[in-house]
This record gives sequence, structure tokens and C-alpha cells, in this order.
Amino acid sequence: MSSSNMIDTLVADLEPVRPRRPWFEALLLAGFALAELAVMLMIGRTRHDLTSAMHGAMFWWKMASCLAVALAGGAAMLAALDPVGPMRARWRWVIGAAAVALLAGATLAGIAAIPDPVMVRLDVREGLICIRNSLLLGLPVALVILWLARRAAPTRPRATATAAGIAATGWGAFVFAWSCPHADPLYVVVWYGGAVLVGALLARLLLPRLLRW
Amino acid sequence: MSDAAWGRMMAAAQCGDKTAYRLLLDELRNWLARYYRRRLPADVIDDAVQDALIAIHAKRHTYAPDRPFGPWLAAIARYKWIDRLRAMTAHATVALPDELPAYLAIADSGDAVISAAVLSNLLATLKPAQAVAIRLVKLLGYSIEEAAAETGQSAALIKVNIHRGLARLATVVEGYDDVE
Repeated sequence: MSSSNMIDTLVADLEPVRPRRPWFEALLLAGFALAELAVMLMIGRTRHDLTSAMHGAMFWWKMASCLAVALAGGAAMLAALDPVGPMRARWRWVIGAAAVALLAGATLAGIAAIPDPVMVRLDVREGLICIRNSLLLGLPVALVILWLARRAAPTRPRATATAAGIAATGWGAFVFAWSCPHADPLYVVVWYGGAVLVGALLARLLLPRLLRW
Repeated sequence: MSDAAWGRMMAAAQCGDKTAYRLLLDELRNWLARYYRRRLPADVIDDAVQDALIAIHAKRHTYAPDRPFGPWLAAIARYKWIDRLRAMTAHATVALPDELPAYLAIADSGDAVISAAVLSNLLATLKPAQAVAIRLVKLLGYSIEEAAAETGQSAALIKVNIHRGLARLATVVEGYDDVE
């Protein structure tokens, strides 16, 4: 086909479209994520000691960390949906380095604070369940993100995919955290952090081919 | 034609104005042809232009009328450029038919000199063996065998170097804000 014919075809195919509204997409995603949380809180079993745990700082640290990861990932993902998405590679490294430093500090402080043997505190069996649940609970959000992304025009598929994985698993971890009784910072960093890492890797491996346009 | 005028035409097209849309696509076709002439071998420019036009059509709702048009257009053109570089790796193992080298087939000699200038510059970031294989086969139209004879690399190595080099280029381009 010559490019003149191509232009004829495209012009004939022209339908009015509504320009993308990023704020609407952000609200849609947030609304869906909150709805998932509400459903899980209603039907799921929250930890039996939820009320007393809410008095402790550890509970809020865990919640705030998961939420921060989910929000940071979500913001990066939404920015990447714009074809003219910002690059700011240096800022990404700065934020990443700061996050790693904070996590490392928290872990070291946590390890020092509680004298039990590391393997007992890690509780590998429950930890793996925690990773699985975080990933599963992140799946609904991941599907909504995929739907949004395919409607948009992400020009950096791998960065978009990674951010989407972090956002979805971060939110999955946040939802799961309401029913997880663990408050040991070592446990939280290893297994919640591990879940986000696995989610980001899976997304980076699986999503880019679905994001092509 | 200014960026603002193109932005207004696209905004009109988003409302269904076919006349504005045709004008816009005609101008974008020329802009895209110039863009890819500096970035791709001559034989894939037409395909790249058409791919980009289709992408612009399919993603026209992602242009925000209150923002400049140029960066949006450049982002889509660049995305399709990377796509094309990747597609060239997929076909890197197919030897070109024996015909006039691409640089002789271009009538305008001025064009031949500047053609794929951006791509040529990018080749400098690759390993020399990869760069020379891509330059000979993809830009100058040598067959795999001719390139092998010219460089002393085996035919298989030429293919491997084209494949790896183009894959590397696509990754490099993807990481840049823009390549000029």
C-alpha cells in the first residue's frame, strides 16, 4: 500500500475520540484498588489482634511502607503511560538508592532490636505464603493497569511493566498486611520486599510483549 | 508549519474533522519521511512511515490538546523507530537480494550522504565488528558474503554481529531521552 492510500484509509476510518484524561485514569485505578481492599476487609479474615496491633508503631510502619511502595509504583506507571513520559533516570536512581538505604537501616535496627535467631524470625513457611498472597492480591490491580496501559501509549514498555509490577504487588502486600500478624521488621523487609521484587520481575518478564502497539 | 498549528489540527481531528486530519497526515508523512531517512536504511523507510502513521491514528486520543504537539509526535516516531530496529534484527539473517546497493539506488546524492546520519552516529557506540557489519549490510547494501569478504569475518559472524548490534542499538535508543 502506498502512503497516500494509507492516509485515505486512515482518514476514512476517523471517528471522534475523547482525549485521554490522566486524572480520570488515576482515580479509576485508585477506586478499584480501594474497592478490592474493602471487599477483602469484609470477607477476608483480618488478624484477630488488629485493634491492639493498631496501637503499635510497627503496624503503621508496615502499612505505610506497603502503601508508599504501591503509590510510588503507581505514580511512575501512570507517568509512563504518557508517550512523552518523563525520563529523569538520575532521579530514579536517587529514589531507589534512598529506598534501599532506608530498608537496610530498618533491617539492621530490627535485627539488633530482637535477639532471636534469624531463621526462627524469618519463618520461611509463612513467608512464602506471604509472597504468594501479596502476588495474588496484586493481580486484580495488575489487570486494571494492563487495561489502562493498552489504551494508552507507553513508549518505554520495560519501565512501564516494572512500575506496574511494583504498584500491583505493593498494593497486594498492603491488602494482605491487614491479615498478617507478623510485625518483625526483618520478616517484613525480607518477605514483603521479596514479594514486590518478585512482582516487579514477573511484570518485567511478562508484560512488555502485552504493552506493544 | 508550526507545532501549534499541528496541535490545532490534531485537536480538530479528535473531534472528527476529516479535512483537518487529511492535511495533518499529509504533513506528518513528510516529517516522518525526513525523520526516518536520518535514522534507518533506505529500504525500510516507507514501511516505518506507514507504521508510524497507523500508530498516530490508533493513539490519537493520547495527544492532550493543551500540550505541545512536537514532543508527542517525536515520542511516537521514536517508539516506531526502535520497533523498526528490532524488526531489522529479526530479518538480519536473511541475505539481501543481489541488486544495486541502496546508496546507488538513491538518485539525490545529497540525500545519500546525509541518509541515516543519526543511525551512523549511533553505530559508533557499538563494538567495531558489529558496527562495520551493520554499516556494510544494512546501510550500504552489501550481501552477507560481500561483507564477510570485506571484513574478514565469517558469514555466520557477520549475521551474529548484525543481530547483536541492532538489538544493542534498540536498547541504547530506548534508554535515551532523544537521539539527534
